[in-house]
Amino acid sequence: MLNINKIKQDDVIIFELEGRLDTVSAPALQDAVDEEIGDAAAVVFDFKKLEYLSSAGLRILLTTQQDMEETGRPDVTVQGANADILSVFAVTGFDNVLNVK
Amino acid sequence: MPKKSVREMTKRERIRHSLSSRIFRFVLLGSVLLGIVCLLIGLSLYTVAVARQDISTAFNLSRNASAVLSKAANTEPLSRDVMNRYRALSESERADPSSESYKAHFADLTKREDYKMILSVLSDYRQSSDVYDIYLAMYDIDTDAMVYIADPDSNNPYEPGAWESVRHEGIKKFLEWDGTGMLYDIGKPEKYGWMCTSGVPVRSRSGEVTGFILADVTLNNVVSGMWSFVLQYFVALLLVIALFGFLLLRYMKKTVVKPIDDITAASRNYSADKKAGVQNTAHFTNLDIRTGDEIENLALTVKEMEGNLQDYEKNLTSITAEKQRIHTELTLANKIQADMLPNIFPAFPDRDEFDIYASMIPAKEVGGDFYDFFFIDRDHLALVIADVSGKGIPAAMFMVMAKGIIETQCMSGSTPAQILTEVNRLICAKNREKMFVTVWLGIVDLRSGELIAANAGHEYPILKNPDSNFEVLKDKHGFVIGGFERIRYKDYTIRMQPGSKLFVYTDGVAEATDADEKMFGLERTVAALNKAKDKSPQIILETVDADVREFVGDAEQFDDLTMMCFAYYGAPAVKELTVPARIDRQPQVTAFVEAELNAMDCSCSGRSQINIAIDELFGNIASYAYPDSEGNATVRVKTDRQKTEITVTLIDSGIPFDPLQAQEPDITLPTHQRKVGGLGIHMVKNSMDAVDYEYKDGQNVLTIRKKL
Repeated sequence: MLNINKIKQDDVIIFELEGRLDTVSAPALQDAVDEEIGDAAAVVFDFKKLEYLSSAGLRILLTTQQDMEETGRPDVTVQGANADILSVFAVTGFDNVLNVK
Repeated sequence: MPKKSVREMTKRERIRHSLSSRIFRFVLLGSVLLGIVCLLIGLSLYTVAVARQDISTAFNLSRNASAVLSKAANTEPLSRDVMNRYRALSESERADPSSESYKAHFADLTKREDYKMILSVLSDYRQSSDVYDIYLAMYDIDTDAMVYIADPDSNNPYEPGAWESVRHEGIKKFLEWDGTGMLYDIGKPEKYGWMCTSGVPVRSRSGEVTGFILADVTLNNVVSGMWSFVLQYFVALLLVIALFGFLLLRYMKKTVVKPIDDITAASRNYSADKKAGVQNTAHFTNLDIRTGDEIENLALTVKEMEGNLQDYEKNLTSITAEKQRIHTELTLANKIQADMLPNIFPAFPDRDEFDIYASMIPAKEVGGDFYDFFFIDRDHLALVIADVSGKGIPAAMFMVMAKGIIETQCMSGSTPAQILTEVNRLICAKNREKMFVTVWLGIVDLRSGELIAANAGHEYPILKNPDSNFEVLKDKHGFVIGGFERIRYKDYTIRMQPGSKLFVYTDGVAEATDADEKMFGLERTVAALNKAKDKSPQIILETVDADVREFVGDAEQFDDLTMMCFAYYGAPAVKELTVPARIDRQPQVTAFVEAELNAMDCSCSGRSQINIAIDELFGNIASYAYPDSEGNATVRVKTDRQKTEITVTLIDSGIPFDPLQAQEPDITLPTHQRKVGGLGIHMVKNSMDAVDYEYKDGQNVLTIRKKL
């Protein structure tokens, strides 16, 4: 189960996620991102309440980052990730791709 | 004999102790001793001969003089006069015969006619011979003195009445002379040196001795002649000894020392050659010793010995090579035999419902005992322990056949009794040598712990139930296999509970004997088992083995020592879920696995990693396994007894696909070149303890294992 909470602060879009980001829940987040990313100046993922994410979640983070990069916007920021998620980033090399806080 | 061995001596010492120098010293010493003995004999013979000559001259002279004197004059009156006057004198008056007062008593006698007559006859005799002196004297028995009556000595004549002390023993034989033989006395008076006095008594008409005609001969020339004789003798002796010693030494060197040295050198070369590994030697054969004595005999004997040793060595070499070959073959056979038995432990690391350990130590290089265990199917494990009659290679060959037949028959799916019945029939058909084998066969159902067994003449199994001791199980015995063709065996059942252990063994354990021929026995076996009853099968077997070894001590192991211990821990907790392979079923699968994780009190991070793995793997199956149709996926979750490990197996019947073969993603690429493909399986591999894939019976079987 995944709850997605979108917060807009000026041009910055923040996705607060709660639950598990996996194959089943990923499409919903993908839809939300697609909807909001168009004119956002920056994208922040708040993972404070996220249990874990699988490769389906990584895919969304990567495509979002690639979109932002293409249009010259700043790196996607991930904040509040727990140790399990950080270790997933480390194993997959995503800690070099994203702006992990 | 020297104290040191000849090998420890310095060169100097060796020369000193050498045979030739010893012979030389011996000859020298012997010759000298012999020479001295000869000298003493020669010297005494010489001395006696010369002295006798002198004595006889003196004696004859005195006898002649006596005869002449008796005709020319009567000596008796003069003799009596002198002696009467002498005896009349007091002791003090005659104390000094050279004094003038003493001489005055006799002075008038020299003027008597008969004195002059006697003196002239004696003087004639003296001058006509080489005697020192010839004179007339009388012995006075009371004073032990010889009193001179007439002395013609030209240099220092004694006047009548002059006297000299004489030895009583010397003069005694003169007084008692019976007229036969020679009269003489040898003495060494200080005045004259060695001297011999010889003479004859002069008797009156009545036969009374009135005086003695005495002749003195000096023996000094005899003594001086003796010394020159000794000197000459010594010179001659030394020359002879030197020559004799030299010749003897040369002879001994040639006939004794050199041959012995030759034999010694040959022996030394022989042993040097043997050390260097030279096969054929001829050191003794080449010896040329022809002394014709014991030494030649010795040389011939060692020559024979060399030949015999050569033959012996050749035999020994071929025997040793043959032994070596047999030993090598037996060692290899031992390895082959050991490798035929399952001997890698733990034998089934992926099965945790039981543990098994077994060992076989043959008494000889190869033995007839064996144990065996193998899966008949996934849930049925066969346990075999057997003991072939006899030992060594025949037993080992029979064992190989029996083991093969038993294993093959077990695969038929029959019960142990049926299997043993069939095995017996097959073995009897080929058993011309009348060998037999005792077998205990058990087949355990690992799901229920039910063990069905049959015993063909083998030792009683020893069973331990949970929370109790090992106890001998007196099961039903059938006849040994290979005895009679139409034997039937009977099954019996043991219900193994989690914690039950079964120990089977061969007679080598209970019948292990110590130096006093005492047997280890079943009681000690059970005691040893109970010492380690709560330990693993391996520790249990090691304990029994150690106890047997300690009991046997230094006695030789007579029989094979074979043991096997099976411990049943109970069927594993396995749960299974089969769902259609669709993404929307993923939460159901996750929930199913998570329920097990909750039961295991699993940590958060392990739970996340397993959830991610399930998401990735089930997601793959849902997305790719059945591209053109619908299919199912099965998830099996297994946890171990200690709840420390979880094993999840995902099975699908879709297209064969091994996700482990997918290329590893490059996680160092810049962002715009990154792809997500492969990241999922990469994460699974990194977070699990084991990930295995196999394609079996038309199914993809992927197993992940994680210690929690």
